[in-house]
Amino acid sequence: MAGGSVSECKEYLFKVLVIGELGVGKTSIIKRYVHQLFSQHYRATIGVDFALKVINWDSKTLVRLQLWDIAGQERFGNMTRVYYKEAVGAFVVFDVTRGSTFEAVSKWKHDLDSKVKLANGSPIPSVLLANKCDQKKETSNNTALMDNFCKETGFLGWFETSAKDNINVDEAARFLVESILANDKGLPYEESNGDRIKLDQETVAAESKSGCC
Amino acid sequence: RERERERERERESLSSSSQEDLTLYLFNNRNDGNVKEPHQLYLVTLIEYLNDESLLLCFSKMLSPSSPAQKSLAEEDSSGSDAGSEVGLEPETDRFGFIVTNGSTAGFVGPPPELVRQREAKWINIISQWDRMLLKKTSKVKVQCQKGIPASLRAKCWPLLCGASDKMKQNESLYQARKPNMLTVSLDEQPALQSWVDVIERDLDRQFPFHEMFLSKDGHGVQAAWFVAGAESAYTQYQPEEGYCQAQGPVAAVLLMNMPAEEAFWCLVQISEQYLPGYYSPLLEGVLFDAAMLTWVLKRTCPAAHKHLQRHGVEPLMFATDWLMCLFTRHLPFNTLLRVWDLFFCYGVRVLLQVAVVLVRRVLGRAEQRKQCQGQMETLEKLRGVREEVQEEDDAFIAEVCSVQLSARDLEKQTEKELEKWRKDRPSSTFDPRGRCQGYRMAWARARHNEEERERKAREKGNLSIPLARSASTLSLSPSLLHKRWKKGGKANTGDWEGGKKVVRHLSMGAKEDWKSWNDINFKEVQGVQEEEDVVESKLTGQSEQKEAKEIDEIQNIPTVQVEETVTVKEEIEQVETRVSEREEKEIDEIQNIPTVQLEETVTVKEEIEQVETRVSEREEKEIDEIQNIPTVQLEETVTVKEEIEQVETRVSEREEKEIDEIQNIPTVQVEETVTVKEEIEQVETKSL
Repeated sequence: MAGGSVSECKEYLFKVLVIGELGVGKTSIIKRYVHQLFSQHYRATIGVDFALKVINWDSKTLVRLQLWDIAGQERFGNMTRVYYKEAVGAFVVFDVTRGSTFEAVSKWKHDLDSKVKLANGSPIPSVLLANKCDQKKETSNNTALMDNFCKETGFLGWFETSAKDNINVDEAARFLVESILANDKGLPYEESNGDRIKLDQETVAAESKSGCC
Repeated sequence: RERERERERERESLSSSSQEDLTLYLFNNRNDGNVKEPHQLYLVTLIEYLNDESLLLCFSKMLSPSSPAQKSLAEEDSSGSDAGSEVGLEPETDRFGFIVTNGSTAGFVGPPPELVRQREAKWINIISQWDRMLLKKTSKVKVQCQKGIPASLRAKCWPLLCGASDKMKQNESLYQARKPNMLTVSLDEQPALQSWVDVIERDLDRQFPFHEMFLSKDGHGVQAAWFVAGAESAYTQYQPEEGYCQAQGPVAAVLLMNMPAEEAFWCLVQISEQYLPGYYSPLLEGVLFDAAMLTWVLKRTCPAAHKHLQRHGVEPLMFATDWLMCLFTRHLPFNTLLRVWDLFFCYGVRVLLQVAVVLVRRVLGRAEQRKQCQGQMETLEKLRGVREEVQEEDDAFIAEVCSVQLSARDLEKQTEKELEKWRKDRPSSTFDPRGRCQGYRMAWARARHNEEERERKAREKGNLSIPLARSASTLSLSPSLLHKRWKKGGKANTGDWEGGKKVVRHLSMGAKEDWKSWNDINFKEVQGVQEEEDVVESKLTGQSEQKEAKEIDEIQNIPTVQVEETVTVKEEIEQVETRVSEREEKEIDEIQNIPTVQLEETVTVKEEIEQVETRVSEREEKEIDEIQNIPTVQLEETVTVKEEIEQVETRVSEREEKEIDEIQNIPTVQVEETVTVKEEIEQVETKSL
């Protein structure tokens, strides 16, 4: 890695949105990711909820991930502009057992892109999560279809996840944070000492395994 | 002698009917014989009415083994619900029915039973003459709402306050017609509703996972919630643009924990349409609007916290959306929540803003607190965890809420201003919050208006035979009579219980006609008494006119007890007391009778007091003009001192608002000698004869 003294630790703060139809498991994914917990009993999110995950990215990088858990019911769409402000990344979640939630993915993506942009004007990096994969009925392989869908709608990639069985949640998060960090070149949250992070592309590839394009 | 016997008979008939009377209050409108209705709630209501905590405990135990909810909990034991795994086959519940876990309200002890009883009596009095209460300018209702509605009467009071009772009556047919639909016909057969039935189903068991009512999908709480939701679907067929909003779930849940499904449903309708229009509509305009209002209130009432929020880019929509939409169901200890709702039904949306201010203050009120949350996330985290800042401190919390300066007029003015801005930003919006219901008076006035409209239309149609919807108050008994009856009824617990059961069975067989006719009979029977009282009242009015001039100065000088201000209460009470005692001295000649009762043996003395009261009220009827004081009973010191002060406050503030001619009572507390009660009764007797 880049040379320099060990004490130079950089801290980043990223605001990441978690959006998608209601009941797809947004809160569950966050709870799993942040607290390593799962419950059937999460109550409906009204408005917005928050969680903070601190990641020791590497010996010199600390990432604080602000996860904004946004209410899924359509009518809250009227408030999302406030919630999306200054976000630098997003997960769009759907429920593999309910087709309608996948159909709504484009709608959410569009809402996202129309209301928030990176400083340079490009859409914020977003990752698609096919949640509840533990309950998936048919085992048909539609990887190609999904890859294609991601390309068309502008997702960086997609993951089959299960908050219940803890499948791919960490991987998806890592994948998103990597691209945020890449985007963030030149815009570190804390005052930079000029020591840029070089992403280790091998790690990225190794860690973001299944289903990623 | 003749009269003595007559009175005896009268008393007997009163006490026997008082049981049914009471039960009717509590069982009103639950006569459909449907076993799936949350009958548990009636029992809880009744038991709470009897004020027997141990019974309540027995009851929740009794329910446990037979409830499917518990079984499924046991099966599900390991599936990871946060608290469920610690619970055995018979989960212990607190007084609200929540499964007891660490940090729940099990240790909560409500106000002392005597106090609860007094309040219940006051409320029954208020309920029984609801329309009259609203025609008069009295702060009685407000004062009582601030003190908290007794748990046993919320099922009656909330619907009454928000106008749901009226609405329910008017729409009886609508709901009745839909009801079988919702319970028997599965919703799959109504594809139009299916999409949002999905939504509701997903939500129901998520509301209060640790309340026994909501423990499993078969639990009757969920059934009932379904039922409300289903009923609402019926309703939204007439208002299709509304639909179901997720935030209505927790609100419905709390309503259902406090009352039967039909009442709960109409309360939800009143909240959604009258109190908080636009809160649950597809655009959530009401919430957006009130978030802006909250910014203004915060700026006004806690500028430092407001500045902090602005500096860190924290907007009310980020932390207060669920506060407002769920009416704080998720952010307050349960009993505090109920107290807040008592206020909300009384005053409307204003209370939501006031509570929000209190919560923000709790989190960011002190400079060091603000220093601790440097940054948006830290601030939001703190605000989200606000529940930790509210302990079991209901009275203090309510006092704090009421102390947030926000009058109805302030609110109106700002609404106008905010609406101007709103319309500039959203020229296409038709949202107009000006017409929203600011509490029970407006709700009542609207109900009256609607009723008149309907009658007018009916008359235009030439259908004169349409029956007038008779409100509860027209069936009312005179307050003093009712008070006595209530007392009498409360004494013979077992008898009441039996009687209550009888009535329940009677009602649950669907004998609605019988029930109605019973009321009619009772109404006629009682009307005479009530009219008599009115006569007395008017005569007294005449006399008090003479005194008016004398008294008016004094009255004006009586310090205002404004609960909306943070005044040190003690000071006020002292002032009030001195004034009252001044008056006492002046009027001492006129006062002929102040029976002082020292309570030593509760039961026997109570009986005697009743006798005294009967006699005194007899004298009233005979127009003995000089009597101004109704005996005040001094109970054991602990409870009474407080309550008496409250009474003084109530009376004083009432008097301010009332026309002076209505002044009849100044409670006087005189504990000078320990006179034996018998002596006193004799005095009264001699004087009255």
